[in-house]
Amino acid sequence: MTTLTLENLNLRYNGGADHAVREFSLHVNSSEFITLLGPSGCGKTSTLKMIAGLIAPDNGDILFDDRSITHLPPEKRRAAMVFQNHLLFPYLTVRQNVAFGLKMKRVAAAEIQRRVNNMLDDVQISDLADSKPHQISGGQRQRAALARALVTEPQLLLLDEPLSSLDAHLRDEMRNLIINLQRQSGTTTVMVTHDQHEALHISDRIALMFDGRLGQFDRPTALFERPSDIATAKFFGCQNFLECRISGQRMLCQFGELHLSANSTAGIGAASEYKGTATFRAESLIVNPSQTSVNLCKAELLNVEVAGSYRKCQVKITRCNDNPVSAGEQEPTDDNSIIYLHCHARDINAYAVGDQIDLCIPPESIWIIPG
Amino acid sequence: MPRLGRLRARKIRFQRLTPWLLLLPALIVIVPLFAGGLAAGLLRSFNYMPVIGLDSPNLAAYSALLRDDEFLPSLLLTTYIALTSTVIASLLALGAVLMIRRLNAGRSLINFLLQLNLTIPHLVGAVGIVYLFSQSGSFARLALHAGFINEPQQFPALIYDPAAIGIILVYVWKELPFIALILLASLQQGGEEFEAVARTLGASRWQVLRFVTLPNLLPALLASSMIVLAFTFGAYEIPALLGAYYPAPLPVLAYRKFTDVDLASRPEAIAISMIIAVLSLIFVLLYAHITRRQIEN
Repeated sequence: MTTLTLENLNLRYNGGADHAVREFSLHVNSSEFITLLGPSGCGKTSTLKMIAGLIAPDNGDILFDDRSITHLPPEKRRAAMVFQNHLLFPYLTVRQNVAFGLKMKRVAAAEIQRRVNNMLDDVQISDLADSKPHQISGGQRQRAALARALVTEPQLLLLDEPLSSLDAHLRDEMRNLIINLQRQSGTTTVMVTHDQHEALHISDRIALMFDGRLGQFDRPTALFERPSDIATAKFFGCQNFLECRISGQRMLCQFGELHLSANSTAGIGAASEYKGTATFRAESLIVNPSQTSVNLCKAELLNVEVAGSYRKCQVKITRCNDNPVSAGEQEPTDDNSIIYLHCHARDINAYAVGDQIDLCIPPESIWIIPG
Repeated sequence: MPRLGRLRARKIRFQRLTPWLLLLPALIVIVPLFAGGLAAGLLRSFNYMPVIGLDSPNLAAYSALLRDDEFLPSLLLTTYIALTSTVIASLLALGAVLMIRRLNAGRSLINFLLQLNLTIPHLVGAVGIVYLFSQSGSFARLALHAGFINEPQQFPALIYDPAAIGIILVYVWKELPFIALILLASLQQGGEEFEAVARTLGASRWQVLRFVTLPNLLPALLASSMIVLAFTFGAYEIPALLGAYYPAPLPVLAYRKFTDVDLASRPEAIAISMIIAVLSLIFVLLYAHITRRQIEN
């Protein structure tokens, strides 16, 4: 099994004027499944192509098992890639497509047959082996493309948005297949996607990219629950941000003083008092909490949007922990008093726009981003 | 209900007719001019012209052609010109495309030049070939000035020659960009991505060319070659301008027989045209077959 190390990769385009990737460094452990996640144009596919050898970096180094392979051509890297569009060769059958890499490596015919048959079984398309790509469905094509890559027993499996061309049902099936095959083969895998749910579901770790740079690189739960910066928090759907001053396990913001949990400040140093940004997810708020809860707030319901059995609401905080919102160090305005609340329909159905509601911001849901 | 059913059936009939009605203006022009002309020609080649008393069709014109000393060499020469120019243009176009795609700069300029070439008439190319390659042309003069030859007649006869080099040169010059543009368009439809996949699967550059690029290009190459083959087989003006008198390519022979003072030669002229038409039709059908398979894939 192979480790992958990227050291200070840089890639420029438009004659060097713009950076596609800048100072990108990363270490992937053996047999690990990592995802390069980020918005369109952030440089994730360029990074994947540099790993595959399809694009040469302007500078920096790529190492497999601590051995530099930056100057090796793609065919010498043993990094098989599956593209967004399956890219099965249209003039070959499924079996011939899967056998392609082995044939290029001049593996003996009997061995090719054995390995291809096993792989077709693994991806459950043995009965389609003699079909041409245009005769099978999108999901089956993507299975064949995955089989074609895995049958070569690559050091590294590179997946470029392999699920994005599939519909929701097929995507789930294919995602589980990828997870199973990756676990079974232990192949170190790098996937590119812009779909955070896909990344959260499939990855051991996620490397979040913005504007060609590496943002947070951590386990999925860490990115989701403990973002290192506001951009990461926003990318994972956080909508509520409060500038605050933290002192011990309390924070002072425009809503007055709010209680924090011990974990809320785990992302910052040991200073006794500092400034930061508090964030909490819209779905973590509790409507009609018990009166013994802490961080109890009164809010005016401003807007309700139906999202299936859930409701997406905007509320304006008017009192918090029995303090009027003017008790905080910031002057409350129409903008910074409004927060987002996602809750089950049954919790909010009794209220109309303009009504006052009781809310709780649970201390354990608050995460402090330093700076 | 029965009335509704009738209305529905009438609507369906009208919907089926609609494409034909829309095609009607084009059909009115094409059928009399093309199919009508072809049918009239076919009847004439069978010596069937009731207006002048020839009312018993026969194969006399075709059997006369088989006995004609000029026909077979002419057919062979035409086939040779068409095949040679098509094969050379195809191979050069393939090579050019493989080189062009490796260029980073200047790719769009070359694309423009290829497209520009399509707009220049064959006739202009023929004049250019005469100026450049004839024994009184620029290259002969250069060779004379350089001392390679002592008199212009020593320059190899590339025009009006039995090997039809001048004709082939014009066709290669003119058809190469046409084939290259079709190949470039075909490559742009995912060709480079297929090659990238192949390389990550362990294929060397040579293996990529052999197992990916060429199979990917083959349908477009065959289809464009068939069009060129059909055109060069039936084209008249270049062989007429640059060809030797004997043997003459089939279209030139047909024209000569058609304009012969002996009116009895006319059925033979039309029979030659029919042979050209049938062979061209075979090329077009092959083209259609290849294209259909390409679309299916």
